[in-house]
Amino acid sequence: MYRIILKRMAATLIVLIGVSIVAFILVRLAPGDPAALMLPETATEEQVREMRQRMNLDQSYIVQYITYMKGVLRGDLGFSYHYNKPCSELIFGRLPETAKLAGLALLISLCFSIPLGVIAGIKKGSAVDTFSMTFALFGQSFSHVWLSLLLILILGVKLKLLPTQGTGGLDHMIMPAVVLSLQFSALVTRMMRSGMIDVLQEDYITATRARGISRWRVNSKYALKNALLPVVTVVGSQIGSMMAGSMVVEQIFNWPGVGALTITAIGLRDMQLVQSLLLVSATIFVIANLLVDILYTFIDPRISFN
Amino acid sequence: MKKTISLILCLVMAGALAGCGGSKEDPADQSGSDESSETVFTYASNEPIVNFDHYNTTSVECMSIGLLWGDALVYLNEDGTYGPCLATEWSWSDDNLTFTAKLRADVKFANGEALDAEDVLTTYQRFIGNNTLADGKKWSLLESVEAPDSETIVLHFSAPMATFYFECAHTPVVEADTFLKNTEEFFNKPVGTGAFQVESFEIDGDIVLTRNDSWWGWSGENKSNVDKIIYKTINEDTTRVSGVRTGELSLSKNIPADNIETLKAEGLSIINTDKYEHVYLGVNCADGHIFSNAKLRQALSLCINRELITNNLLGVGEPSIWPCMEGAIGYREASGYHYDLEKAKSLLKEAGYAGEQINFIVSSGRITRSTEVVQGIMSMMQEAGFVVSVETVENATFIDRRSAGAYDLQIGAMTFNGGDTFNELSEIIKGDRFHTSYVNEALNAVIAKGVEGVTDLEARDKASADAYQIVLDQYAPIIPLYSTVAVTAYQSNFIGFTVFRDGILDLRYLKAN
Repeated sequence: MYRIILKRMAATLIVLIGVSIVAFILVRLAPGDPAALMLPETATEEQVREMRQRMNLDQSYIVQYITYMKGVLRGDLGFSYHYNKPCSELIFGRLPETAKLAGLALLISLCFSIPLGVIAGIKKGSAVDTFSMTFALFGQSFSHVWLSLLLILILGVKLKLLPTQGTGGLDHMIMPAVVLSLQFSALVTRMMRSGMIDVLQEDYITATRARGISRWRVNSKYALKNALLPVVTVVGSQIGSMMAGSMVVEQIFNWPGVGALTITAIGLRDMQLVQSLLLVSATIFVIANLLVDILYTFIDPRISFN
Repeated sequence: MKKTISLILCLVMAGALAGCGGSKEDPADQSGSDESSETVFTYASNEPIVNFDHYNTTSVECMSIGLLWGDALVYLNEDGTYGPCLATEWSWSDDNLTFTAKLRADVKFANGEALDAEDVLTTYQRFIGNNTLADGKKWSLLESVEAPDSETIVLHFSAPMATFYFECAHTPVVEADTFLKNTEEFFNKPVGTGAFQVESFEIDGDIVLTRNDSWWGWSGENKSNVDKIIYKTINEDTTRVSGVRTGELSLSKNIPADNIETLKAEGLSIINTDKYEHVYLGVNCADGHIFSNAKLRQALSLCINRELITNNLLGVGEPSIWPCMEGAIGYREASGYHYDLEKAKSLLKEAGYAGEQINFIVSSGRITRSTEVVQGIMSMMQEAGFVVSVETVENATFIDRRSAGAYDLQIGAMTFNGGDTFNELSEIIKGDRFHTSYVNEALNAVIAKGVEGVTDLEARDKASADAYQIVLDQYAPIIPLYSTVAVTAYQSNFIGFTVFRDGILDLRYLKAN
């Protein structure tokens, strides 16, 4: 088991090396001279040349990549010339903010959508089921931008119930977290509902009921556990996505997370920062998926890496 | 039954959301004071601040905050004149190469240290031979600095520095000991003699400044009663507008003009500042490019209905014929160059234009409502008979293309800091910063002789006007379109601040009623 996990971790490492190469190439394929963009438009050719040297851009791509990766192995993710700070300081300074938002969004999603999906699955065709399917349809259709602006207008501007931007207490997190959670909630509700409907039609459920076990016990102990399996996979990938930062939500609600930093870095062509953001985001995504895979084997012993 | 359950579920969802916010105080109460009865002024703009050294960043807000934490030798008044600040009096040598200033006595830095000439010397010496400052070349003519005594500072220049006063007014004097101890980090939490001092600073986050009660500039009545000023970078226009509407923000800059009526109706105050910003068309005059033909450039200028753009597309702004706006150095009233579609059509015929496609590049987001403005211009050009292909690219590509001269037509905006047109004339037009390949020896001679190195503003105004007349007559290398307006919305209980035409905000005498 542990050997397999180690093997899987090694595979993850290969994926990350691949990601680092792709990130390195993508950033360099983008138009615009990154050195010139770090300077005012009035900068002289000499200043641009000096900046290129400082940014190591006068070296060959291979030398640049090796230098960058050597730094990464030492925990040095490069230097942001726009912010005049190490990239690691900028990225890891913002990850906790993104994690807070992602955590609350995940909590809202799971607390709301799992019970809703379960009830909808059990009470197929009921009012709750109709509500859950309507919610799933709209939840997956709404755009983050539209919903964010609508919530700001209603809950912030009109009703003055919640602050419209920035960080602070829990109240600052509610609107962005609700927006961030909506699509995920809709997805989980739909998966949970269909999972419950499928599982409840299985023979072993019928057999369990025939033994006289209560409906509540059958649903909660036997059906729910199996219906949850596909949801765990989705949760894993969603944690990765949310931790990589939701650019739109963070930008609209002025939330100082990784997503907002990514937008700024891309806009400014802050090459090393973009490159490192891609690498860190991919790492989080890959690790989250690895953890889900490992977790899967504990939830369902029938599944193994083999 | 089913309907009842659905309704209950909906109410539970709404209640959960409302309940989460229920314990919070009305956000409107935050503006002006917080729980500890401190008077707090929170303002926002879309400009990020990465440090407080405006020679290493291009942010206007960095200069606004620079006015708060530090004082310069001179102060730029709203009418464009310069008055004393840390320097009480000054003089120039006859050759305009030596500037001597007497320093104000009894001025203290925020850390309690007394100001003396050594601090000013350190402030200016950092510009000499320092290639690490992104915008440090503005002081490239500064040769040496000396402090003959503790109250006198002398700056020596290799040639007259035309933009001296503006740069000087935006160079806060630093506390020498703190600066020299940690030069790298100094501008993350600078120590100056200003009315407010930087308490905390987070990149892209909140910047908090607290009042410096011992500031020399206050004399009883005009002392600010605001305890804290907080600056927030908010990129989204809608979020800034919402913030000022809810009262979370005391003031918001760069408000889209279509929000003015809504904000006024809600009791907010609005300031429309005619900006020192000009939107123009840049034409590529290189051989082989369409606009190497002066008649076609004239036709382009004549076919654009500028009033239609400002009145109908933007709702704010002033149509421009002269290449700089009223109030800036070198401005003159211009006549005879207005919209004339028929003349534009006949000029196209005269020039023998055979429908060659014009490549018009625009950077998304570089100017307000760029899409609408460019589409408007395109249709006006098409009406005159031009064949235009608009290419919207992101900013990095735009800068690249412009630097390479890979365009026929481009649209951009120029900000004149302090109303000084020196940079546009010297660096952009004479220096051909946008690779237009436009060469006009007469124009370059006027700029070289009458603008560059001329510190006398009256003389420079005359030469600048002459240079602009040539630009206007030749329709190259820029064709002015309109000047813009900055809309600032604020809570009406705040008074005593100034929004300058280049976007700089002076909050030193801010008061809350």
